[in-house]
Amino acid sequence: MFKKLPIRRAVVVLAISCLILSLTGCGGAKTGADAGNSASTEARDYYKVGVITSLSGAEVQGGNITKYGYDLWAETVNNKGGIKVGDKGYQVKLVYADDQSDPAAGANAVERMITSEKVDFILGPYTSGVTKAVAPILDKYKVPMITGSAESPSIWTQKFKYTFGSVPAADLTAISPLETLSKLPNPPKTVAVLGVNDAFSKAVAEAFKASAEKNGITVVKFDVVPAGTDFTPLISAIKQLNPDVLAVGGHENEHMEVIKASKSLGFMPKAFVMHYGITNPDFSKNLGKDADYTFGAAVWTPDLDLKDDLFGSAQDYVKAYKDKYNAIPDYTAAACSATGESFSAALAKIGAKPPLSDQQREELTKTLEQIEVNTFYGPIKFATDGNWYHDNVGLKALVIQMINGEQVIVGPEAMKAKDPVYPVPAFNVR
Amino acid sequence: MLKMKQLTQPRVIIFILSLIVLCTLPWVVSSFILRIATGIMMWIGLALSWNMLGGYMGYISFGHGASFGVGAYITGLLMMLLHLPFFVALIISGVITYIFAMIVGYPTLRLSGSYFAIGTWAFAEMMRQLVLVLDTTGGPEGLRLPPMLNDNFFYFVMFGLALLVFLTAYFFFENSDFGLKVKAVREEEVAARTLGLNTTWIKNQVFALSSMFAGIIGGAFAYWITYIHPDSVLGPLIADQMVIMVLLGGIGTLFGPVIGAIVLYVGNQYMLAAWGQSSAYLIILGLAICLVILFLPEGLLSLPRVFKSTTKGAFARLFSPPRKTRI
Repeated sequence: MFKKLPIRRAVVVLAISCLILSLTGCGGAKTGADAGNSASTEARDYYKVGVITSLSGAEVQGGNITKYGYDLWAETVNNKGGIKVGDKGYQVKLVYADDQSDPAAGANAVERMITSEKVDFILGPYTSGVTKAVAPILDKYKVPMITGSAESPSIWTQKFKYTFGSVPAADLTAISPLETLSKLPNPPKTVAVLGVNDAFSKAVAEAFKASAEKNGITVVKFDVVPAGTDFTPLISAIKQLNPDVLAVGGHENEHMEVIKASKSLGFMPKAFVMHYGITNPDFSKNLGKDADYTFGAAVWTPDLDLKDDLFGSAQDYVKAYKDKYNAIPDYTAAACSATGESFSAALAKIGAKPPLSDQQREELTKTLEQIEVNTFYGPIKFATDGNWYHDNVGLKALVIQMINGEQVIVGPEAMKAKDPVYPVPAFNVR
Repeated sequence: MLKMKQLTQPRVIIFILSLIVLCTLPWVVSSFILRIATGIMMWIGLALSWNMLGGYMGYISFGHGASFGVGAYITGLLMMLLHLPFFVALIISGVITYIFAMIVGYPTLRLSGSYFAIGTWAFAEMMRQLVLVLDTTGGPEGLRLPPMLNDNFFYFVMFGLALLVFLTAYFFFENSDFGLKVKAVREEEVAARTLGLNTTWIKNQVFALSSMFAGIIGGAFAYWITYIHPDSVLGPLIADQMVIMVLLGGIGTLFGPVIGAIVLYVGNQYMLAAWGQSSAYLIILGLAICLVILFLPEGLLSLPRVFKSTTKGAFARLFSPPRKTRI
């Protein structure tokens, strides 16, 4: 008996039982609150705000950026006395749910947030996929949500009533770089467009193609490739076509690979055009001087001359962010922080104190449609019609160019800090 | 025919009682709990369907998620493009995944062991890439289905499907000649063939049947979540979870997959709700699975037996006089 059943087995059985017991004990209080079947309310004098984003899984990096942005808003607003409604300030408490980078898990999480946690409103996911899965559930319970990150244009064509987004869709922003280049005295004549096959990158590549055609630039190659593709053979093929511009829809890793492959193959177009990702500090850090002169699109940069009452100027925001997270915020982080300000403004306008009733949520949603909020991130104004229904159309897309590792605004004409450098110097003479 | 005597057996009574309890669930619990219950039913069905192949027949497949995804996409496309009603689309997607699995099974079932696992995994990855490049499936944008937000409806659909798979496993695999033949393939395929069994046909049938169930459940999932994406229905995680659930509960048994699915799904959702602020819960979950696989290789189903003998041992040790050290 003893020989067959060592004591470690008893220990393990004990350990497993303890684990199960501890789990039951820890969460008991929370699940005990599951009672009502609708988004009803509970008595409290603070706003309970749901945050649903990718805290694990493939998109955890981006998910953390959104979390930092939302956290910074909550902390700042609480330090300044909370959201002012009437003559009293109400604190904000964030409740998190991890969507595990998976639409189905996101749908579960948001249902729990609404029915068990009874949140007043929701700050939305990092990815477009989760946003799409969550949107019908928000419509069912009539709880408003603003995502400070999702950029896929297809979210907005469905016209979900309670889903908003504070970043303009990728097809609104990606048209700007080639448009700016086409207005130069020596505009590019040909462009090759590469895109990675994910929702965001593909939309960017398609927008590059459309804007090139619109502005009289010939598209000599258009290719959408699976994620993880080796770019070397593609760049080699493009080199033969010798386009003036190579435009790439992707994320930071793919952008870095394209630049590296081009350098090693001796391919030097007059400009590289990219989108989100080149503002990620890793891009300049890893590529050094090779990263310079790359064009990109953004909706916000840290040096913009914008301000609001909560964060102060854009530079103050950058400082607060840097002090807390030791990193420079990109436009996703800024948009997430500004997202909270939209809700604050709408709540103040309708004078809704926590907890919100169903009717007040309805009013909140209507007010979000009507108001325009000017923040350190720029104006937030949601479209109420058309293909970008409930997306922020108040912001103008900026064209940026990396110069000495810093993002410089080079377009459009009214916003630019410097003239764009085009054609750009070759890799070996920088 | 069932006789009265059979109907009054305790286990039959327990089974019928639990069915009644499960049928009344939507009117008792909150919508979030009902959503979790729907998820549990779905995973019970999936784990049981994988168990037909991996448990009873001993062919470990990492490509079972492909059937789930194919079913999901076919249901979605039939509903969106041809505007077919849900149940019609579901039945058609079941038939298509069945035929599809017959075709896929033909070459892959000639492999065995880890080669079969790799082959099926590669096949699933191929399906994912195919759906990503096709325009009709929406490519990387995914596919949206008409939103239908009746929680009770989906609970009963998933419950019905799980019950269907359970009864199939019970009647076709646990209590039939066919089940014995399938187990013979698992134990010794060459010997089974020398006894005159058409093992190729048996293997193909099991593969197609289990894939069909996964496909139908995938179709129901698509309509439930209303939005599907190649990564969410054709990603490797779907198949991986089925494998882990079955191993956790007890492979090759009727109740093992059921228990594994409940424990893993509830554990995941529960810890997500309790500790959703950080992703530490994933580490705990992983650790718990490691412990079970290490010390309970026959799954959680063997826990009462091990517990019984272990406590007996511990008691014996406590109350027996100290022994001399044995080397």
